[in-house]
Amino acid sequence: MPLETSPRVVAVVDDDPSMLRSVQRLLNANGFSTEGYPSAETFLVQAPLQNLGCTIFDIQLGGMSGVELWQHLKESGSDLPVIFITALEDETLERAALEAGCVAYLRKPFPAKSLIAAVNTALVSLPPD
Amino acid sequence: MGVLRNSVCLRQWFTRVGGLCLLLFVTDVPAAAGEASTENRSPRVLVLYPYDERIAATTVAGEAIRARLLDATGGKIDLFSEFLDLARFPEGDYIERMAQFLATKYSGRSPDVVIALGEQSAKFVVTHRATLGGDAKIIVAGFNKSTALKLNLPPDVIGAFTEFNIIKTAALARRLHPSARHLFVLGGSSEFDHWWLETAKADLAEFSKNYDTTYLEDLTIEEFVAKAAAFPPDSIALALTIFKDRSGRNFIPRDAIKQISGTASAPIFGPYSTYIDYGSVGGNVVTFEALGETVADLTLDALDGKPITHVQAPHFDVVDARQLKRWGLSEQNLPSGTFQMYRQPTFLEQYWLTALVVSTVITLQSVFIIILLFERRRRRTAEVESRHRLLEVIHLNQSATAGALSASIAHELNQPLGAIRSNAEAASIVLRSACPDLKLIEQILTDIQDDDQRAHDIISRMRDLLKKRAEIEWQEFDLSELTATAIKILKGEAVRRGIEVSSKRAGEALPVRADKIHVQQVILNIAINAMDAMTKAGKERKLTLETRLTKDAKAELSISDSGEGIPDGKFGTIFEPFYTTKAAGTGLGLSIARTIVETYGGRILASNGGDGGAVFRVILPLARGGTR
Repeated sequence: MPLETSPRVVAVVDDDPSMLRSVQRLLNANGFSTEGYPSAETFLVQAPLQNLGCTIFDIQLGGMSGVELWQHLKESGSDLPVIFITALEDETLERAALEAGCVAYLRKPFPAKSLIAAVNTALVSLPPD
Repeated sequence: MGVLRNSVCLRQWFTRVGGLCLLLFVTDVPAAAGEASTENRSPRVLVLYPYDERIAATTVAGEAIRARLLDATGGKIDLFSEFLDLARFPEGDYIERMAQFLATKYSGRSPDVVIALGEQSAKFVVTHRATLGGDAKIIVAGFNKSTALKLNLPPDVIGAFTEFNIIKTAALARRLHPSARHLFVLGGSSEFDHWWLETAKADLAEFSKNYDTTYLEDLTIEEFVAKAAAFPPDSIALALTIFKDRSGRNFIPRDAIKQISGTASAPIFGPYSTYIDYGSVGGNVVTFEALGETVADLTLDALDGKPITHVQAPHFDVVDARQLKRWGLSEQNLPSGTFQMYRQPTFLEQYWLTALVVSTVITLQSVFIIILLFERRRRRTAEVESRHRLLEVIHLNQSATAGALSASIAHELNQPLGAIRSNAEAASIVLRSACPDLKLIEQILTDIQDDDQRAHDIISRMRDLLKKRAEIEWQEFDLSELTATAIKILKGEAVRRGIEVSSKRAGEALPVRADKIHVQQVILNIAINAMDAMTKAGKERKLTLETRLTKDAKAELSISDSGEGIPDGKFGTIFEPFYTTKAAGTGLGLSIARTIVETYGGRILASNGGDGGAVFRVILPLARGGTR
């Protein structure tokens, strides 16, 4: 359940439009506000970082990858929680990502409850303003 | 027939009737002079012809003499010819002047031997021997001894005589018509005819005992014809000469024979070759050639200083094949060595060379055809085998490609599957709400359908990628479209590897005819090879696929990468099987690509692009039917 006190926006970055749309719909249906971005670069340029509660990154994004984007955010001082969703089956990457502190690493197609649980976890872990 | 007839004409069988017969008289020349004169030069031989040069009878004999002499002396002989034309110019004055002319003409080159062909030449040379310079040996030729006696030849004149013995012709007739019981002997009313009849009666005394024999003499030509037309079928007739019939009409004997034989009811034989072609079945005759050769042999002996004596020119049995047929006489009864004139040769005889060549050719052709059939079968089997092997290899290559791309394919497939699931779950939540947003539901369902289609397409491509061909499946397709499909297959892998794939499509259609799956494999092999080449970190990774129509109207696809390019000196080996620079590579990708392209009549060229990367160009012929 989204916390009423922190109406944070969930940013979704996926280069697959259909995937991006479906994830946003799923989150919306579960009461979360969403912002969708088709690439890491678009996200970095346009996303209102201060309003975001958490981020959902696809790993393969055409240009800068989801992992690189997370790296970029961390280097620029942001500690936004990150959930990775990927169609890749790469256990090494999965392990590395989890060890590096991502909230969740979900393989497409994933069940809705896994994603919602991960988002709730991320928002709870977020320090209050 | 024509061919044979010509050869017969050339051979010109020859015999002359007693007095008309060619007599070759040889006048002996004082030996000493002849021998002395030939010591330091080629011997000289003068041939005297009785008629002009157009009378085949004597010229054929003369040519035979000439040929034999030249052959025997190796060409070291001087031959002279004089055509006396005595039949047309019998005047004593002319003959006298001719003798003097010849004496003058040959005074500086007196002949060692003079050959006189025919009775008239013989008479001339004997008469004018002194004038002509009397030290030449004289040989005369042409008829029987009785004529020679009439000419009163000097003893040193040697003759090649032609004796006509009717018995040999009669024997030939008997052999050919063994069932004959009647014998008819025909003779004319001239002095010579009478002489001939008497001679024949004597010669045939014994022979005629076995037959019911009738001598037809002192008849008019009409009577001869009538009698001949009434011959019993089991008859043989012997024609001697008919220079004159009882009514006093003169004949060339063969013309008389022709009239008689035309309506005769039994075969007529005659001792002269001139009768042949005038209705005579044949006879025992002398040929001009044989006569000429006999004379030449005498001449050679004379030149050698050997003693020579009168000789007999050889006789031959000659028959007219047409007459054999007319009378139903069997060829098998002919004595061996009989010359058949006008014989319609059997097919093989007539065309033996052609037949031999044709049958040889046919045999060889058959053998070749059999060999070729075997070869074709062997080759077809081999081709089929090799094509099957190629298809096997291509399929292995397809499987390997599918394996290499499996990660990206799975990734690609997971995208729509993931979207479908999220959409479906979102929809179910929306539907559970108090006031479901049906418009949203509709959008969601549309997206689900699209993603399902997307998944289906991916699986289809995957199936194609793994499709095994038992035989080449010829299709006409656009190379640009196939390239686009290949890019879709590769896209995921390229993305996974961080490679930017770009493409540029030809403005016009590029229809090619081949097996789509195979050409796609070519593209995948080259592109994967290109992607494998771009491993260096930090460097921009770009894969560009570009189709175009070449200037010489061919479909071209160029695949360029931003890798390190092909090392110098390796251009020749990169297409070789098992050439690889990759640890995991089989080294078969490019080799298979080239084999496929060549199978469809195209080629692959490799080069390095301006920015250092490799460029592979696949060139395929356009399918018939044009480009636009």
